[in-house]
Amino acid sequence: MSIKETIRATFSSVFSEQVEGCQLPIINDDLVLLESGLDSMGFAVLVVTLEETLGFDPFVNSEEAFYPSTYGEFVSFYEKNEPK
Amino acid sequence: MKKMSLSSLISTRVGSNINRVALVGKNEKVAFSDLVGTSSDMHGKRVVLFITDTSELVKVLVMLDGSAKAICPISTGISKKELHHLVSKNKFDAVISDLDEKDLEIFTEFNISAFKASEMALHEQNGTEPIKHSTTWLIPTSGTTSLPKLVSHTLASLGAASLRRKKLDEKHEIWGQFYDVTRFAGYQTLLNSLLNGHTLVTSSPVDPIHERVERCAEEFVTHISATPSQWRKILMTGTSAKRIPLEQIVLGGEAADQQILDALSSLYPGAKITHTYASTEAGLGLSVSDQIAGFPMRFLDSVVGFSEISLRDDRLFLRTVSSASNYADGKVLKDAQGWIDTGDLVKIEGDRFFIIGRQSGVINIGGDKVNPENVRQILLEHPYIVQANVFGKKNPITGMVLAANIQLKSNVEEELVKASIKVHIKESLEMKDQPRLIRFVDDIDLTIAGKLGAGT
Repeated sequence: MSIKETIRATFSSVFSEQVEGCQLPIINDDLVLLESGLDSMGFAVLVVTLEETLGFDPFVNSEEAFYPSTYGEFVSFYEKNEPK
Repeated sequence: MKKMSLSSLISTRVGSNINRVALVGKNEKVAFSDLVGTSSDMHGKRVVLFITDTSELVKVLVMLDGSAKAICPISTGISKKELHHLVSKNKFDAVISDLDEKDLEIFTEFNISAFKASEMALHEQNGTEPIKHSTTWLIPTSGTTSLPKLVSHTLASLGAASLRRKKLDEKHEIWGQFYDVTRFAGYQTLLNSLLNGHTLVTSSPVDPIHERVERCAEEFVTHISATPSQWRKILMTGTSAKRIPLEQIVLGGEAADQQILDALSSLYPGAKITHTYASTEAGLGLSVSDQIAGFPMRFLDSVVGFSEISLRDDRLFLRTVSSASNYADGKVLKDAQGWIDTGDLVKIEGDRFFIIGRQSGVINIGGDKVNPENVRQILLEHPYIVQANVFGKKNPITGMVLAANIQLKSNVEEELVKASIKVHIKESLEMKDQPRLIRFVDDIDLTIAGKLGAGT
């Protein structure tokens, strides 16, 4: 699976585990992360789970200190900081 | 300091700026002149303030300081269990609230008379009159258990930093409120505004983060004090965050890592960025503005600002002018020389020292204290859980997230059991104590069970 596909699958599973009584939002690049229904602790779980699956944490790898705002920014942050 | 009420101090210190806006609420603006005045309705009484609307809460606070024996503002976001604990363990005469009667049942159960915040009457409108009572301010703090206890402060100890400025700055600062006003850090922001003539743009933790950040941009907020976790959320709003014309950024309540300091400095290149260490008991401890995580070693064994700092057995000890006098239950919190054992563990690396966790094993999750051992015990109450460990997992979004590894009894229907464990967690634990990252594992290393306070 590509990074993009892994993030999408992980986002969906973390969402259903962390958010009760809320439908999974339509996932596209413009989805605003903090308006997706997942709270910041939910995002923490997403990032930790992705680190376990992908084997890296872009927030640690990146030279630039950055907090993504949209789903699109989130995915490209992972793609950009994948260890070569 | 000559003993003056909060109302008198505002009149004296704000002086000719008395018509300036003190509080910007969602729907109203309140001038300093609207806040000044005292009420003798609660003279000599111990009063809980259980008020949702920040402007209303501040009005009542100002009204009662100097007249009531004790005031105890409690966040209306508190859980029923915590509120019941506070009300049952402390003696109160009255509660002032803007909530409906049905939300005040816990108070009536303990025969505490309820009054409507909007019906409180001002008696002395103008004045620098001497105070009738040196009012005790009772501040809830999470102790080592999961239930809160009250710490006794005075206006002088809570407002030490704000009152240090003898002369009012000409510069008008506009502060954005992110801490709950009823917490120690919230009082710092509030009193700084009230006592130094600055405007506070209020908002509620239940408002969506985009809305809160947007309001700060619209109101041209220049100063914000918040936890690193709140700052990360602010930054995740992207362009809205960028529009806030920030001149001063303060981080406190949990350790600030290098990443958040760097991210803030890159988004707000002109702003002064200060990270602080404070606690409800010790008051203000340390602060540094060099944008490097941790604190400089030169702070140790010397006087910095308000505090003397000392390390004993890897623990941080503070002696400060802004410390509380004692716990409301009379328990002493300082030694004979005035030192407070903060219970926070310190690690030294090069010329910096870092706060790495609590000696008690309590973990700081986004500014809330969580006792992992208590959570573990609750998990073990579930009939299908054999063993568990609970710990803080470090992450870039919230600093720490509460995690639990759970070992189930063998031969159980996993999916069914997992669902019932979820229910058990929701029903038995406060929101902040609920593990969010749960892993079901085959085996748990007992040597580390419940001892992973500093995170992995």
